[in-house]
Amino acid sequence: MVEKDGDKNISDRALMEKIKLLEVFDIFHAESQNGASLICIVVGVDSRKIYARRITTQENCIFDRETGLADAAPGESEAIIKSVSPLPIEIYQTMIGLDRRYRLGGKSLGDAKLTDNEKKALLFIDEFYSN
Amino acid sequence: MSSENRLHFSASCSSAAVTSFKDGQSYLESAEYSYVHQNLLSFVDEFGLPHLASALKLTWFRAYSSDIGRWLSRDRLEEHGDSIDNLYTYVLLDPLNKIDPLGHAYQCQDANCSTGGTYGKTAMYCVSGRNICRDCAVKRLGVEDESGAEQEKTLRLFLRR
Repeated sequence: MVEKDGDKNISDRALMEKIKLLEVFDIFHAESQNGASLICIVVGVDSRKIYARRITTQENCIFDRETGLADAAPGESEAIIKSVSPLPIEIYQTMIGLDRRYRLGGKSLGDAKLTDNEKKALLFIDEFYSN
Repeated sequence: MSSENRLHFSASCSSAAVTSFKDGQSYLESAEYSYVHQNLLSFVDEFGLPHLASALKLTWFRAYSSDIGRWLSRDRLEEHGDSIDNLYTYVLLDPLNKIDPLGHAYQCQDANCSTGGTYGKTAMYCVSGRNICRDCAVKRLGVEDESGAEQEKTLRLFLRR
């Protein structure tokens, strides 16, 4: 289906409105210019910014609350929020668990191995946010 | 000069500038450089502006013939893909829409990396706070048994932005 410009503007506007509703512990999806997919959890919000952590890499990202854009540090590419659709609860819980494990667990490369549940959740998320 | 296990040698003009490369076995010319201005070779940058006289595009390390649509020698870094030799992993298997203008890959920080680092050859992934190459990311995340498409989907979530 070809999306008309008008429809796209409406959906963009709707997304921008939803971005303003994000609160701590919400999970959203952003994409960077180089094709990286960012599953982020909100860790703080103020009137202008959304402070988030990329769950899989544990990077901190700061998004503009008006535009959904994240500034790029040197050597990084810009990212933009693509979706704030709520994940199914079991997937959400798996992602919260993954975030906690990567944040508080071992920091060696050997500790990065994904469980079967986490693998399934990540594949589900790719599908979920590509629709 | 040696490439693809074949010996090539250069021919020079009186000003000692290289004017052609000859195949060491057949003595046929494998590449020819000619002058645009008097005694000046028109070396160009990596983006390959056309060579006016010979239609060869000269980059720092090899020449491209637009007549035959081929590089005349192999990339000296050699092509490198993933474990199944896919050459487009550096653009996430999407060479029509994505580019890697800066060769934006970093040295693999996995001490057990079998390739010893893949600067500029594959996309890089951030796992446990380290930048590692694709093969190491697949291993460390434990997705070796997944299909290639599933691996790509998972790895996109760990790709450096």
